[in-house]
Amino acid sequence: MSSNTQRPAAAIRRRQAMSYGLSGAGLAMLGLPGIAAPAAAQQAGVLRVSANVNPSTLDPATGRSGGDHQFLYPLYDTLVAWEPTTLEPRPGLAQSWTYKDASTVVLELRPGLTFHDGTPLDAEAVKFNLDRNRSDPKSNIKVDLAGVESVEATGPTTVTIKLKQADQSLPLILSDRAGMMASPTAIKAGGGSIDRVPVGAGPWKFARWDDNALVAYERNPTYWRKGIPKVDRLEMKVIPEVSTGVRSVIAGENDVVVAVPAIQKPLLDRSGKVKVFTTPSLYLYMIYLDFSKPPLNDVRVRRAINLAIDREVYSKVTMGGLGQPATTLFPKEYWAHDPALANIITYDPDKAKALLKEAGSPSVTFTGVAYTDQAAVQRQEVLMEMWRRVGINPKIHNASVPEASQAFFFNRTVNSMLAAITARPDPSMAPYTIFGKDSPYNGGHQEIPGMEAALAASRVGATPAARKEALSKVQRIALEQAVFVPLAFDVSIIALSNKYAGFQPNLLGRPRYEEIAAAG
Amino acid sequence: MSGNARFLWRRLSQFLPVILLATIVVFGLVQLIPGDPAVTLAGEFATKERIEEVRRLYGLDRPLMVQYGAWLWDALRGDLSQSLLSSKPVADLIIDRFPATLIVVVGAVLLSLAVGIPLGMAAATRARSRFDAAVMAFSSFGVALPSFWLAMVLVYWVALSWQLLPATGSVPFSSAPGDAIAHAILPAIALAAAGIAEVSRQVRSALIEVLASDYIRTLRAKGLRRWRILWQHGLKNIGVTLLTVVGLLINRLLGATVVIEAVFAIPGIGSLLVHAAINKDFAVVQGVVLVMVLIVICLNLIVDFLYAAIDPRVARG
Repeated sequence: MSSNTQRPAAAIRRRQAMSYGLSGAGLAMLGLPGIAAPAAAQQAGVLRVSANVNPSTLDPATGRSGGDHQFLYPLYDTLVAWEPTTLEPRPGLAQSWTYKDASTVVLELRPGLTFHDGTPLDAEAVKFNLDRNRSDPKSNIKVDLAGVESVEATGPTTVTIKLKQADQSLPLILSDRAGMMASPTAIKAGGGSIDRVPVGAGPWKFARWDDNALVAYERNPTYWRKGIPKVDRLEMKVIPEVSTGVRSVIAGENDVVVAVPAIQKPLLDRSGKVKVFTTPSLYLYMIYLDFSKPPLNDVRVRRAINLAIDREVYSKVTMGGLGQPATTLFPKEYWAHDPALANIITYDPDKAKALLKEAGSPSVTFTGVAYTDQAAVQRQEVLMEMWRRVGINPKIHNASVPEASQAFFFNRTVNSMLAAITARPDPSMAPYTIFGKDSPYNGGHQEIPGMEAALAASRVGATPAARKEALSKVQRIALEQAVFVPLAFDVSIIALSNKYAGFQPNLLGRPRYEEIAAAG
Repeated sequence: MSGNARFLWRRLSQFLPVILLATIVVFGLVQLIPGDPAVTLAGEFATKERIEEVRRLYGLDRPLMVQYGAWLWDALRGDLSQSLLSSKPVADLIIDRFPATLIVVVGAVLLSLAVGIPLGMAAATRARSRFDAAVMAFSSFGVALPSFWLAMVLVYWVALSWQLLPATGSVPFSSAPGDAIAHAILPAIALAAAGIAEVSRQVRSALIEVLASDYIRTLRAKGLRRWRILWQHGLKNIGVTLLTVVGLLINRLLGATVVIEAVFAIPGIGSLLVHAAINKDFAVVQGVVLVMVLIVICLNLIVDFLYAAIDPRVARG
């Protein structure tokens, strides 16, 4: 955390003086009367965020990118919320949820809820949203609700959800995009589309979206949480060059910058003008392996690939030492983390060499794809050097995110993909995604012995302890079979101007802004 | 038909085939960009079925010639199609973004001329002196200096350390002229460094040649004042050279804004182009490149007309 030094008023005055002077000059040139108000005065009650991506859409059902969440949270409340530091479920739009039996969940909504356009947010609206999310051809979140058999409005504020089988993961699934409620009136008026005219029930209402430049929001005066949001207007400025975003916050032109690379953190710390939040995250850098094809269909080769990686060094070099080396699916801070799994794939180059020899060749080559950004290329180079030392020489090419996914998951033209799995609110969602037999993101596209039963068990346990035990079994199978290569957990670095306070980081690494207020 | 009119007609008649050729090249180049726009539009983890659905939805499954023909026909009627990502008309996106780019480019051109011309003239009048050597060294430095590096140095000192000017963003000139100019100063300086160097070098070498000519010697012999010889006769006679430099300068600056807009987070057409190219938003890439090509062609036409105006021998061919 940085100190609480305030931005010098003299600096603001200097900039304003320049601006006034130039205003005069500019107007004189145009022959116009009057003078523009200074930028600082126009910004009262505005929280300005430097966001690193442009949203793919503002409809939670049709979103195409993990970067959308920061733009969706201000607009849409979820049926279930989560505790920021533990990700335990807590009441959201639904004030309670009850398992009537192992496969029937009853949600009880808060009374009197409305969307931004005045449409009642009742049981019928929830049914409309859930049915749309799981069946609309444009929905990209059908998979999240694949376990839902039916949704019924069984009272004005009561929704009954029948599941295909016993499943404890639904509440947290409803804390993600699948649980974001949009106005049925707006969806019908838009012919099924609200990509550009989103209407939710969140703390802010949509104001405007200038592509790749700005997404602006205004306070929702009828928001059910009194006193929230604490800032009237939210402006998310799209600045893909994060170093530029960092400079804009230091210069006082923005108030928040997100997704700061570790290398930029010292600059923020030194400025003394911001508070820097460095938080562990569930976002896991990893390598997907196609374990169905040679040479990666040999578990000894896959184990050698894992054992050749010094994850401490990897984290130090690629993440400035701020990331957490990963030998399991969950970071130490998370309730589902099991320290007993930590030693299955620890660094052991000699053993890696021995395994390769045992597999029949002291030298192995496989193909792979990685992303094109600078950090991804650096990660790739560090790994290749570690592998080279034990006799593994992969041929990796670079491609954009969608193209890399297409090449590995769908066209299956390469053996591996150096990528990541984004943070998910329920701990069973990530393993289901990468190890599930029917998941398109199972690198080998085949069943992993013993995995299906273990995965099913991970969603059944009624207590966290029971679920943790089941999740440990899932991870043990995956690590012993070496069907993936965990590398490091990302660290979420977010800087907030000293003029504001109240930001609460979370394990998902997805910032929320409604609690941020002007510093007293 | 007079010589000037014939010249203008000749130039204009070359205009349309060049534009048509440019559209074919732009369309062809965009198709050569690796990657499939349907894959991008369908998202990070889309299924094959979803990708095919998106391909059909956006007409990307049609033959290339049909896609090109449809796009050209619409473009001829002023419709540059819609962004594949935002569904907004490309023309509207360009109109929204262009002022932010224009203010920076105009600022850079003005700065290049305001500093470069006097510097070049001063060097020419003191040819082979220490001052001349210093100007030439500065010019070489200016040409070699990467604009993004200078931009970051300027931001660090002027915006962050001294806090004199904004570090990022832009403001519409129509809503707050002073803020708009303040936001454009640092990007314009970063862009203008190479322009100043280029203008001063060209002015110097052209002026040295002019100052050595017989008529200048005659003017001196007649006792005309030095500044009058320089500004009234010298400068006029390097007009064609200066025009060429300015034309090339504007073309180059339009291209260079792509980098500068990223460094200063300016929502101009450069950043629009970069984002569209990364996301395979072909409609926007085609539209922006076409508009940039049109601007360059129009600029070249204006420069040609001005050549003819300054030196009638050009029009006579």
